[in-house]
Amino acid sequence: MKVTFPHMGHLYVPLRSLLKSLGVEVIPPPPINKKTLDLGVKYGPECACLPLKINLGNFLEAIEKGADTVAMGGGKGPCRFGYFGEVQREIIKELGHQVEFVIIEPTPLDVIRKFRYLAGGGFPVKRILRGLQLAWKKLLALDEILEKLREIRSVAVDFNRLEQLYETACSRIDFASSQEKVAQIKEEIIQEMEALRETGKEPLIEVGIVGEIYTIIEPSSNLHVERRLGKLGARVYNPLTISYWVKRHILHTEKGDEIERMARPYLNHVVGGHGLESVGNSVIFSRKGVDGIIQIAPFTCMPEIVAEAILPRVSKIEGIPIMSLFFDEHTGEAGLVTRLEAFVDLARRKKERKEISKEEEEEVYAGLSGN
Amino acid sequence: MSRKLRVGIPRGLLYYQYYPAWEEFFSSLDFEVVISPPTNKQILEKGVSLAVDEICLPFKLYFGHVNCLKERVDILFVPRFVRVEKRRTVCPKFLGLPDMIRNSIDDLPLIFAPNIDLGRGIKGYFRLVEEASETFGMSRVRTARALYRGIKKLKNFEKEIVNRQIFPHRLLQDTEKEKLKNSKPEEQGSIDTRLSVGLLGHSYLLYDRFLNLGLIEKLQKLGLKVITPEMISPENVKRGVQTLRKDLFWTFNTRILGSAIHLLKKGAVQGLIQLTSFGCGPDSLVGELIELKAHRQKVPVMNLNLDEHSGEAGFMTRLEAFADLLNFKTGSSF
Repeated sequence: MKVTFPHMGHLYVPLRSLLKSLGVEVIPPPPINKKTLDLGVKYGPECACLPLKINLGNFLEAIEKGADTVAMGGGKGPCRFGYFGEVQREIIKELGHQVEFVIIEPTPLDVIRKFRYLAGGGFPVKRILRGLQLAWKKLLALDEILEKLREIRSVAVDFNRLEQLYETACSRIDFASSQEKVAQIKEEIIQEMEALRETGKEPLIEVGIVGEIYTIIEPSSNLHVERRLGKLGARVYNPLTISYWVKRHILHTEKGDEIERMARPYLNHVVGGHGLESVGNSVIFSRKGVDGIIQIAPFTCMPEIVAEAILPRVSKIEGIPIMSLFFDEHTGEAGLVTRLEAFVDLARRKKERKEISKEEEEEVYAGLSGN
Repeated sequence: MSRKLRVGIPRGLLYYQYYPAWEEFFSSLDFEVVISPPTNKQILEKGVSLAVDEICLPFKLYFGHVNCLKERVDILFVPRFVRVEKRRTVCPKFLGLPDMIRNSIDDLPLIFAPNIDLGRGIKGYFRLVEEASETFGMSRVRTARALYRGIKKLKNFEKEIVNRQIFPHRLLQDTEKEKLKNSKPEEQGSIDTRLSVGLLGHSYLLYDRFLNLGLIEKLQKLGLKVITPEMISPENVKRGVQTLRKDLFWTFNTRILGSAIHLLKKGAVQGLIQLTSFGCGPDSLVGELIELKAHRQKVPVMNLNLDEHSGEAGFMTRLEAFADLLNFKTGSSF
């Protein structure tokens, strides 16, 4: 069995670890590039969302490299993702490839069942547990490094070097075969990133990101929005990481109560995907004092369209700029850059006015109290 | 000066599927039921201007219907449709519909937006009765009775469509203007043709004659007998989807896919037409599956994609070409 899977940010690192521990040969797809997208657009349904098309491109490229099995996630809706695998399987079959799809539903029972299958029927518990632990440690380390990247991006002395450090972290941790090595690499990288902080510099503004999980996590699907924002001096907060998702939906160590509560005046029900989260987190971000919120989603994403219809009112009542960015294969770089620059500008001016009016307010109080 | 309270039901989205139930329910509770006019250009344009760009056409249109009704009624019925059977739900936009409406349109009257979350035992029905009773200040018994009558009327409506092979919108015309004798629902038995085409799509596209530019009538004029998913019995739909590897979790698309599989299996149609709106999430996946299945059986498929810019011009040409193709294919087998 030569197993491949879809790309999503640095997911391939822990996933490779995990699959190796099951004893299968792993053939990750090549890094997402223009060909990946072209293949997905050519063979995928026209109005399917971008993630499905990118997945499809990944699979086809991996099949070219010899993969004969695809490991894919499942779901039970109402977001389309749950049925991606079924459609992708049929398309690939129609193209004449003899490929098996192993679709892993997000329930503990199915995870175990499919792992057993991939492991060839047996279930060497100790080896798999060790594999799981290593994979989890790798994922946590990379998410921590990603958070550091976000922290330093808007105040970096050497922007390119900073980005390079993240890439290096991914390949070094991918290669690491022990938890100790992973921890060591993580410490080194985080220190080097911190060293790239320009002393005394503050970001221009703080921006919160909400939206659909794939387009948020996979930079090639959002034209590297976070990197661009960082370059424009915006410190980006993005709580939706892969490890957060696992903690929330598999381990249940994170709860969504606060998100639901904050969303309630605006949206009173789950709508699948991360639609409710987008509304709830927007309110939470606003109360935390960020200067602007950007919603990121694939074109035609149903849950995010619901959020998009509601966010303008959130923006009005909370008094915070919110911009929605929907991406598909036709989204142009130039238009995006213009919108981002305008948004950062708007948020910055609002922030300055708030600070000026705060100063004015204090002056008035000082005057009133006879100082 | 006591007139009945007016409940407005926008003539869009699930109106085409469930109106008989709702009409019976509210009438039984002594409301006057008011619906918006049939879709027209103004309603569509208003809807497009009120809704976000990315949302699919039927939802945009619904916004227009809501806007048209809001000043003429005391209460607007905008249900939060979650599910009607277990393990299946519907497009996410239905789940957030009342919230989208509330946050996009001003000067709305009271919105009655109960959760329609049924199909998992009796609890969902209890909650629905509870919500209605509390909102309207009526006894649970009275509301429950009205709900029962509504559901019964709906079941009869659905059965009639299957038994008589008649289109829902023809029957609905009857319901609204009960005394109108001259527009008798047409039946298709009289159409003499060897050619049948399966017309697949959501009910709010198939039966809104403004949106689909009178598609059904046009196809019939071209000598084609038209079969839609509502005409397939639930048992046959179920048998159709049992062949799937993984159960589909959208109720409406299950009906569409199951009907397609059934029609293909029985060889009941010479062609399939998929009517979808640009950007429809579930259709983008299910449509692909239907196309692949039809392809394997060498049944021609035509995809008609609607958005607010759909013009009449190219439309008729495509339909004629498709009818020609079907004629040709059947003729050649003689």
